[in-house]
Amino acid sequence: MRVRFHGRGGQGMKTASRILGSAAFHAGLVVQDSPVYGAERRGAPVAAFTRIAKAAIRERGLIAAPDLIVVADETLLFEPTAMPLAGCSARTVVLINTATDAAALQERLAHLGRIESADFTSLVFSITHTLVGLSTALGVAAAALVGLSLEESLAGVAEELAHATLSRAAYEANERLAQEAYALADAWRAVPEPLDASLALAAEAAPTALLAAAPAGAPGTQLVELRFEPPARATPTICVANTPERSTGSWRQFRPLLQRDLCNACWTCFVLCPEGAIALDEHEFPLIDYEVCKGCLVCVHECPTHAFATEKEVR
Amino acid sequence: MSRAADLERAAGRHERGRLLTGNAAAAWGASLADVDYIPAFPITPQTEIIETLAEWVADGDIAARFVTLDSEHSMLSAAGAAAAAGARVFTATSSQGLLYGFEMLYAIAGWRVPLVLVNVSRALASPITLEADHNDILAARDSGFLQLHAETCQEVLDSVLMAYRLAEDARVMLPALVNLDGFTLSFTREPVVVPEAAAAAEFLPPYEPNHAAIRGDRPMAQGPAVLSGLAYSYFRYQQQLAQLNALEVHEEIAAEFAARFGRRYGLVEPFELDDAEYVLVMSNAFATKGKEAVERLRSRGLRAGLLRLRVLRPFPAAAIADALEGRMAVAVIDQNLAPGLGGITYQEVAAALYDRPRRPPLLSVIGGLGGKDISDVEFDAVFHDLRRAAAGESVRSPRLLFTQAEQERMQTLLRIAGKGAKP
Amino acid sequence: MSAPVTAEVAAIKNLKQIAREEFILPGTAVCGGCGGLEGLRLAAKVLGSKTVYINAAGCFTLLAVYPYSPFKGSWLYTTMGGAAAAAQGVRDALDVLMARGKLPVEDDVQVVVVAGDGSTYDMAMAANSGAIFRGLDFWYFCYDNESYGNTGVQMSSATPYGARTTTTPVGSAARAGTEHGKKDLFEIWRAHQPAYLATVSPRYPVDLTNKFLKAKGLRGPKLFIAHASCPTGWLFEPKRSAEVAKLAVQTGIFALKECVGGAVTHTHIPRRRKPVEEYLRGQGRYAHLFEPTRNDAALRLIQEQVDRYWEAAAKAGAASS
Ligand SMILES: Cc1ncc(C[n+]2csc(CCOP(=O)(O)OP(=O)(O)O)c2C)c(N)n1
Ligand code: SF4
Ligand code: SF4
Ligand code: SF4
Ligand SMILES: [Mg+2]
Repeated sequence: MRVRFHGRGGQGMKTASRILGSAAFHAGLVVQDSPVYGAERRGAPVAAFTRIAKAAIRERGLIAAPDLIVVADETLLFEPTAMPLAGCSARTVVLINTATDAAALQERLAHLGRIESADFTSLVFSITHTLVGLSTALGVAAAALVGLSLEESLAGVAEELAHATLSRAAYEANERLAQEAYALADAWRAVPEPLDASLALAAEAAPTALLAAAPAGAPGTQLVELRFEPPARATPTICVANTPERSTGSWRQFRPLLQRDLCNACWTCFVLCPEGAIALDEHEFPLIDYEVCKGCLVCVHECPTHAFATEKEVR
Repeated sequence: MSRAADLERAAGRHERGRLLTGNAAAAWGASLADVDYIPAFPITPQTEIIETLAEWVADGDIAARFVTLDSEHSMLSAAGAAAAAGARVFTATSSQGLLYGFEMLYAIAGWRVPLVLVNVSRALASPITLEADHNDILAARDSGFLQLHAETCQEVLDSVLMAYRLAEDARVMLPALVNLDGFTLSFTREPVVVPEAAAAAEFLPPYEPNHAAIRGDRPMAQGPAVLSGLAYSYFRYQQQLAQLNALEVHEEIAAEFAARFGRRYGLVEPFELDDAEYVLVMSNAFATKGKEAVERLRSRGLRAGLLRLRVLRPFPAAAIADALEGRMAVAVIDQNLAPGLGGITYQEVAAALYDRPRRPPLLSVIGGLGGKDISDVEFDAVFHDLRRAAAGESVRSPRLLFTQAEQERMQTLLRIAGKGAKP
Repeated sequence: MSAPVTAEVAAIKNLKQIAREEFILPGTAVCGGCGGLEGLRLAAKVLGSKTVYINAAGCFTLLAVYPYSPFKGSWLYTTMGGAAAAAQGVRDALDVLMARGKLPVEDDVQVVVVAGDGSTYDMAMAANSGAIFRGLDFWYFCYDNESYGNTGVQMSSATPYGARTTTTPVGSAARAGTEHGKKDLFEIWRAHQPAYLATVSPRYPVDLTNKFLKAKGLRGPKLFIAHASCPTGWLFEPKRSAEVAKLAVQTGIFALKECVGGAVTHTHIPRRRKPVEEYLRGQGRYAHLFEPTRNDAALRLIQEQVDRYWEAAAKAGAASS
């Protein structure tokens, strides 16, 4: 059983992968879990992996062809640096945290396999009044989907939360959250065929979509003879100022929206935007470059006339 | 002595050269390379190099800027950064200093800036001692720096000039280390012919960086993180390919150097190898002693020979294998020790020979650590071992050279240090 | 060492005199709401594009990650311990190349070290001291996020008393988290007699801009310690980044000052200082001082330190100028 979690830095997908790992370990299975993150920060796409098997696991690193994919943030679905559905096959179950319903997603994503979705964010918020429980909710939902019991799932949560210093109330809220998330996902499990965490890891089957296990000699898989290139190319230097092409706008969870009539063109937001994502137009009104605005909302918070509204990003 | 006085005294003695220490020869190399920048930090036995250069700069004899930094890490940071700004840079260190700045070696190689760093080999602490062995320079063998190892003071000077040519060649573009042994070369005077400045300038044209430089309005971010195995592998592989290019480029440069100055340096130096059956492999100043041993044994009728390793990075595996294949037996004398492994260059020579059908029995010998002498008797013992190995006998390898007399003197030291009688 | 090289540059009076052009472009991989980046971005508006940033390893490693760079000028990425020494190399190289006619004077650039507090207060202390002692004509921008941020927020000698980091966790045997006080880098540097020395805050852009403008007229070491509000390490919502920076000044925890020719001038004196609690409360790194039980002793200690600082400043007469 291979499970891949996708989220953004700060959303707790590493913890989710560990909750699943600990739950399976508690169930007596062999487990391997690991995160990958670049040096990027909060808001940037991250992934985490949990492998579960009955016998020793002879795999390492990234999971290219997962059985279950958990997506913590629907804005990741079309993000080129995340590609959460890469390596999907018709067998792959995809669990998405979103208010959009599964059928609509099925169409948009053109995914052949099962998609389940629920608004875990609202669930978390309604119980814990913060967003920090997303890891618990999605870790437990994944545990339910792969066939672990509620008791095992709760053990996984307890194990992982032992490292956090939580108040008694927060701890109890988390437990309640875990139970609800389990119930939600458990209802999906029966249809049409449950994933079984106790399955031994089969060799990663050739997925139908991206990253298909290419037959020998397929384009791109052959080894090449690397040639010497002149120093002007082979020296690691960058000769253009080009970070705006990185499109950090995809990090944004909330979008600042200028209400022009409230703005008095005071320059505060332009000066205080840490990114330099705001320019000024000919009337000195701010122009936000949404390609790069990270959605930190400093501009919103600092505007003396409260001229910005915020809007949750839906992509 | 001032550079002007030195030149005056040397006038009319061009053919025989003049008496220079290895350190002075290194300083002459830097001076003839017309370097722009010399960041410095003192350490025995290197200090004389920077003192000499400081004096020449103070006298206005050379146009370089000289700055004393606060450590070798800073010195190498300044050196690398100045090269990254587009200057021709020379600097020197030794032993502890090389290790203190070690982080920067990989950085500088990664920046692909062709500075020259002279290392005056000295054994590494602890315990501390001042004389040469090669653990310091060999620790840098994987850094991406080119490495040229000199046997004589003349070769020190010539190697500095050649190192710049090689390092700055567009087919290479990597920094270079030139190694000379502490005391046995650094403080030893011997005749050195100093090339005419004009001839040196013709041999080594000005450095014209266009791949890495810092210039007004031109955006260039140097040495950024790549944060991916893909890009990292690409750039490290390019260092490997550049190093391999350097094998050929070196031969070209050596031929030009020979034509211009009459002294020929190969990647390796064969000594009495033509018909040699029993061969020593050595590097640096003690190779001179090895050559003496070869002649002595030849006079006794043994077909002895020696192969001196000169360019260690890039590693001239083919040249080494060609030179050693088919011999009766070969001993690699390493003036270094990797505890738990043995001699360092032994491993590399063995690997070079591995796929040769007529590879000879290959012995590893450790000697000259901390500058400890290798006596005639010890060389004789090594040749004796070689004959036994050739005859198919099993021979202890690596052999740690230590004589009975040395053993006894060591017992005395132990006694004085309060370690009681010999067990 | 601090000979003025150009006539005094006129100070600005309001936000609208800040340059509109960006010299460090958006889209870098550092956190949203990073106060350090805001400070550097504002500094860059004074420094312009004929500038090379010499970056020590730290969070700002992420400014340029191959194949993307935000810099209109140049950048050289170096080690945690060696940035000022690298600045020395670059400055010397450019000077000697110009002196030898190998570099047109119009290609000259200003050399600016960018380094975190871990680098500046700890590992690079000697290298920095050396560069300042040598009178190097360079700028130093220390973005002080009061921890080793890039490695996940460990204690540095700039971490203040009472802050929790991952290597100074809170436990029954260590109730305050970080038990030592912050190293006084300003005074250490002041003793080196640099041409210019100042503290800056990203929430005081006019003050920051004026300090860079003033330093522009001086040759020699021009040193800046920038308070770098850090949502990720200090545990607050990114949108509060500027607010947290402002509270640091309003509570008197972070003093805005400068030093030219040895004399210290406070460039902004909070008339009625807010209680330090207002600054501490909003940051997760201090949460243990309030919950589950209030650590009055620690809070008092922090308040007293601040009060003592300003009393001494007033006595020294620095505050009056
Ligand atoms: C010699 C060395 N040791 C350790 C590290 C690991 N390291 C990288 S960044 C960093 C933290 C630097 O802290 P600081 O200077 O405050 O910068 P920040 O990360 O907070 O921006 C450390 C410890 C390193 N790069 N080099
Ligand atoms: S801070 Fe507010 S009022 Fe000022 S320019 Fe920005 S949006 Fe307009
Ligand atoms: S939210 Fe506002 S302050 Fe933050 S990056 Fe976007 S425009 Fe800049
Ligand atoms: S950790 Fe703090 S200092 Fe580092 S990039 Fe993030 S906000 Fe900036
Ligand atoms: Mg820091």
